[in-house]
Amino acid sequence: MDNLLEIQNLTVELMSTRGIVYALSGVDLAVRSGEIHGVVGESGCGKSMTAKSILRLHNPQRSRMNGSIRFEDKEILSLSNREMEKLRGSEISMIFQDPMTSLNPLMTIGDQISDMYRFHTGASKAEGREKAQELLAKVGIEPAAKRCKQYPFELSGGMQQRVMIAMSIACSPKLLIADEPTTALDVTIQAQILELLQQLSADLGMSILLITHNFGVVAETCDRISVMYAGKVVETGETRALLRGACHPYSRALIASIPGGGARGSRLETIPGSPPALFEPPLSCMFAPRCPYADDRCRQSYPAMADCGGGHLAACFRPLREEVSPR
Amino acid sequence: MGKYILKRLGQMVLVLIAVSVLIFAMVRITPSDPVASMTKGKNVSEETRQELREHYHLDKSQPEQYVIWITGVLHGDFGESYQYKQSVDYLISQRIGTTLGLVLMAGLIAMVIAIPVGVLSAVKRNTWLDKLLSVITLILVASPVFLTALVLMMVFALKLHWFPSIYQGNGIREMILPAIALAMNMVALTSRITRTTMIEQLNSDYIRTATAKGLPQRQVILKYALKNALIPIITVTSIQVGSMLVGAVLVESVFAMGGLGDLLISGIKSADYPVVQGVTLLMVFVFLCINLLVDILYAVLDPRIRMK
Amino acid sequence: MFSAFIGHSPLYRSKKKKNVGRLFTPAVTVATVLLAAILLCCIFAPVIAPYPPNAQDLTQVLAKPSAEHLFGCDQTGRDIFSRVLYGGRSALLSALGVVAISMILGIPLGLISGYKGGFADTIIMRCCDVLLSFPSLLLAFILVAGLGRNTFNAVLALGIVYVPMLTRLTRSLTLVEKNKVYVSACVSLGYSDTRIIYRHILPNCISTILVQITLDIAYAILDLASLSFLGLGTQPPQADWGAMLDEGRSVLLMNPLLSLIPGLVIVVVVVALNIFSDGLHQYLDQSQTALPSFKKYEKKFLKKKAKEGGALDG
Repeated sequence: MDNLLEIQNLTVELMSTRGIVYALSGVDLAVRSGEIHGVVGESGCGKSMTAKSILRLHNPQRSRMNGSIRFEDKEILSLSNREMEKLRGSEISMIFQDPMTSLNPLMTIGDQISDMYRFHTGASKAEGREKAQELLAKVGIEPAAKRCKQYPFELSGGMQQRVMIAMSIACSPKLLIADEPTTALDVTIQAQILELLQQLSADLGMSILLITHNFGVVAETCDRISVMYAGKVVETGETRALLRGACHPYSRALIASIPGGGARGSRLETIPGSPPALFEPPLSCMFAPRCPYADDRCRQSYPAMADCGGGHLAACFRPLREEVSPR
Repeated sequence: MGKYILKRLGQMVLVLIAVSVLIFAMVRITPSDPVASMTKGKNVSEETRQELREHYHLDKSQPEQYVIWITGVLHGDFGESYQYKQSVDYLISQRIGTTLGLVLMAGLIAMVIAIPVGVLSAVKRNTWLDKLLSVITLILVASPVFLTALVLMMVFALKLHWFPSIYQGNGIREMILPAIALAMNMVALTSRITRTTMIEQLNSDYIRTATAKGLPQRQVILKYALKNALIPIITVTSIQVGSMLVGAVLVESVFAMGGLGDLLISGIKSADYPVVQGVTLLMVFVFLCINLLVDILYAVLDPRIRMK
Repeated sequence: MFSAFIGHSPLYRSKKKKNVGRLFTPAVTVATVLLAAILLCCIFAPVIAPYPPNAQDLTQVLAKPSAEHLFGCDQTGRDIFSRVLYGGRSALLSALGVVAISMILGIPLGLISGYKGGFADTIIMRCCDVLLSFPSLLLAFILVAGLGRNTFNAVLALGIVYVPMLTRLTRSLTLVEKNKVYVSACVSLGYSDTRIIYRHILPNCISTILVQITLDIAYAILDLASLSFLGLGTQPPQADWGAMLDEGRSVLLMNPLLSLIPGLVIVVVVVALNIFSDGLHQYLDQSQTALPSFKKYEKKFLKKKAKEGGALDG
């Protein structure tokens, strides 16, 4: 399969009150067309940062990006601002964690959807209105005609997230970035939203980059997974293969710490320590201080991504080979 | 919505009653004899004094005087001025046009300058342009309105002769300098508030959404961020109108405009109670009306309030 | 043994936290030095001023600036420089008086209103509403009308005018602090309300109030000058910045300095106070700090590195 999106050696540096933060230090990531690709990791590992980088949503005065983000045949980091505006929403769109604050409180949801549709397609007011209703129906907000005239604060969190989704698929983008789309929602609503995303991906042939800290969400929804740690992707592979036989000690520890993953009655695994602060560019494996298998090599240089069998890649000098017992 | 307006109207009436009592009491905090200032120190017989006292109800107890005054006010009669020997309503009606015109024109000038300046410095925040604008606004905030007025008058009226130095009640041209002087303070404060709220809005999630949707920056700033920022801007501006009414008093004094301000100040200086009470009550009334209008405007702008 | 509990009060904790920003940034330093200089000049006016403030020299009426008279003289031959210095004494002292009055009344009212809530809160807030329905200085105008026109009454009137704003600010800060855990801890230890309010809540609000107070001093200087300009505050012949502006406007073309010098001093003092207040605010609220650009940061970083390297070599 072709890669729709290919990120290579992406670094992002942010200016903070305490100096430069090396938020991403060489991210490699590829999303194939039509797949749902999950990105998992602890909070602060750079998942959202990667997502925002793809649409270049960082404050340009406070951030610096290097590396390459290729989308189809375009290099995103070298597009002009005007070209970037055209790309956003029409070819790549994004939904966010908190739908409550992500919608303009002073505009009806119908207006917000048609506003962006009309900007990208140049459609008339009436066409925009019609499209908004059609989209709302598609994401399961009924009766669409009445809902169009409502304001965000009149809807529940789940409904608001559906509006966000409707808005993001208005121009049939090729890639949808979903940044923790279910974190702020109730568990029952979470499942509905994920199902909707899966169905839309299948119907529209749209790739989804699903960012979450919840391994359960990934396991049920994604075709492939990338695990991130401290501003780097440490392991990438097919969902099933990775869940069964993660090679990187961090991924394995992360999977082991999913509640309900191990045998009944067994102790829930935790990872000792906490992720490093990113005030200096990484020179060695960032997980080494927390890794039970780390040796001198791990503490001195950074491992490259390498095939560790089973068709998936991991950045580790001492990949774990044995399979985890199936659930 | 209608209920909300009614409730606010009710509150306004209560506040006005409290304010009228307060004004009446404060003007009379220290016992002084208005008759003395009426007769301007001339030797007047005790009978005349007594007549004057009776004529102006000064022989009655204070609560009685208040009731007489407030009943009059409710019938549109603000009493008779001690020094001008004319009815206060007449004096006010002669002068209110000048003052309101001045405030209105200054307000308009201020908004037209302040909001674009504020938006510009928010969008270009932390650049040299933003810093330059913030230095200018800081100086404008710090210069008292009568100083601005004097400097404008010196440069543009006395030196360059572009505008007349005193206001004689004919034409907008005479009003321009006073209005600009009055506007400058408000320009500074409003543009600073616009900057802060715009930065706040530009950092918010829904702006990120609008950007991620691919809307062009100009539209994101003007249609999304500015519209949301307008509510706090209007709040501050409506409070500013209060200080503009007072600022008008100072500007009128500089340009000898003969508006409500001059009337008020001369009233204070000669213990002319009816004038002081009437003008003050009117100013508070105008101020409260503007606040009420602003509250209604909120509801128009913000559906969350409208639908409550 | 109670100290363990009191340790939860954020004030005590914040002492340990290292403050990253600096209070004395270049702008704040300049402002502070200017303020200190002006303050000292005004305090030592009798020593510095070449002439007594009211000494008339009729041979020098409207004199141009010269070696004897730095800024020239006014209509009655009084030295403008000396009068500005003496005027500053009264202006700064009066402004402090205004702020002191508003603090003495406003802060306790705000604390009580916020902490006690209920009936006291309703009464205090309604009173504030009524006072705030007067357009700012107008309240001062009629207070002066009732009390009589002089410096002391102008200070008293403005002090009262400033009370409701300060009360509201203190109240809103108190409401936030009241719901924090350390207050519950104090209550559970059986501390009296007065002790909790003054020993625990007030210290945690005071920094924000302080920022407002420095701004209020600036506003008080402006408002006092406005009152004097209209003839409602300090009365001639006493030296006062606002009154001097008033005296100067009839001779605007002949000696503009009579108006401009006191005006300029007012602007400088108020700008300096504003910068100081802003700096204080940013120092206390680090989230407001403007970040350096990458270029600047790296330059500084490299310099530091070079210094360290040099030190090692030596």
